[in-house]
Amino acid sequence: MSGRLLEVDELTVHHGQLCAVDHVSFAVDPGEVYAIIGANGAGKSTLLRAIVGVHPVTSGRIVLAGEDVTGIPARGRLSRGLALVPEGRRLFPSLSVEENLKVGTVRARPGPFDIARVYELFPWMLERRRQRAARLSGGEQQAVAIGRALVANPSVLLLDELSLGLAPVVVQRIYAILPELLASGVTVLLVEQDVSQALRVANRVHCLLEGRTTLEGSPAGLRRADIEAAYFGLRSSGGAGVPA
Amino acid sequence: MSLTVAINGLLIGSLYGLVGMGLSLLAGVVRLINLAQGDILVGGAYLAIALHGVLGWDPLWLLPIVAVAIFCGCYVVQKWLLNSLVTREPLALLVVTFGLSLLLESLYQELFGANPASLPAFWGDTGFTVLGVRIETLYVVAFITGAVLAACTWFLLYRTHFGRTVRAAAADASTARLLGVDVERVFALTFGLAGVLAAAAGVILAVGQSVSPTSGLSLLVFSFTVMVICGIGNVIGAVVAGMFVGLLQAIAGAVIGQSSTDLAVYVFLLVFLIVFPSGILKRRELGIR
Repeated sequence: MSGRLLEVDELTVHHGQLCAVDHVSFAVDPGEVYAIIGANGAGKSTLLRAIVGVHPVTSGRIVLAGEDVTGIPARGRLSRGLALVPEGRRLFPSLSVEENLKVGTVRARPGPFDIARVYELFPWMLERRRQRAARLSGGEQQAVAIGRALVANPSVLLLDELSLGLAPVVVQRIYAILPELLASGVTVLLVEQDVSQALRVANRVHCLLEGRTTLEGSPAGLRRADIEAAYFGLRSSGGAGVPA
Repeated sequence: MSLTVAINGLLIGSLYGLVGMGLSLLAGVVRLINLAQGDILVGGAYLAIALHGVLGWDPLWLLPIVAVAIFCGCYVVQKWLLNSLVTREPLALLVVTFGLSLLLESLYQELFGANPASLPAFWGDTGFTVLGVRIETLYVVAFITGAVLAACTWFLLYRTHFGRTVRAAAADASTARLLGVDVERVFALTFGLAGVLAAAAGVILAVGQSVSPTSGLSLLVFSFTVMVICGIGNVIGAVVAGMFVGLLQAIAGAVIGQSSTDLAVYVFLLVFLIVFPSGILKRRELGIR
């Protein structure tokens, strides 16, 4: 087995007639934060949903820790270590905070995270565990959604647009837990529209434009102009870092 | 109208509550209006009558056997027939349950004949007097059965892991699936549970009244009325609404005449739907306790 934890190989995904993800390849190493950036409609969320198995793949392969999981249904991928925090949180509004977390344990693997550990990570949750999820603020809901994915003890945690609809200060607070997750051995693959946020936290970024890769590299090695060109589909001035 | 009639109506109504509870669970979780719910009740009654013929046991002892058998039948129907249509063809789902209803009616006719049948029990025609009010044992048994099964359903939904997955699937099936919940299995178990509630009501009703192959339709309308009054996923509300329907029947029977009991429920449902087209309780995604 190579050192790669998650490999996406020439992945193509369709939304009806529309090709949402077009021959995209990348690999995520254990312990890193890998960010996928791109404008609205670039195919980022579809890519994550295809990786966890809730959106069908047209062609290509998804390999987790050396095992090809492309043909395995979502439940099987979850129990092998792929957990997604979906866009828009998607908590069960009528269930309490704790019940939401418990639903996350249905396919849990053994590991460092359980509900008590989530309460350590977000201490406010313990007091409000019996409250219905619908009563929480957007930031609190996002925290519960992360906790609900964590209790499955994923090896790769996929985060879809954490910052969507949240105040910047709340986003900062949520991203502040990333180091603790990484220290617990979780690898993070995130999708983010907020490029500066992604550049701040990621070891490597991957830019999508209309489903195709336009740029890949480490934030330190990328020029602002190239990122903007890749993000908006403008012609790059220098071309450094832009793959052929 | 005497107090006796009213009280007996209230007590027997808890059985309608059970059937309505099953209907409302299916509507909330599987998004399915099960037109065969009344026929499943009749199936429970006929199964108990057949088993009584063989074993000679008291209907209350037969109840667990009937419950297990109906549960298994309903589980299989949901798992291998209805589940494939749930996400693809909601309208086809409704048509299939209608077909199932016709199929069951014909099957009962073939197996048991068209004549009404009933289940003998030693408590079927006894009674006692409390503060001058004559109460029939049958109606007390009906109420206790209704209350116990409603309490069990509530416990199952709100205090167990299975209940959590049911409520999660009801709120957002695709997210539940994302979290590893086997939503199709949850649907099948829910249909099984709804079947058990109907079949249990069927066994007790077969003692008090007789059943015939076509009894299912009017019982479906009673339980539909319960669902419309109490809303979706409201377990305790379903028992209360069921008792209301029972009372309504009792009042109509005493005031207008025995032949008008069903008519009273139909008219009430019609008027209710005109006055409250979306019900009196808005849908709360099984969040009601």
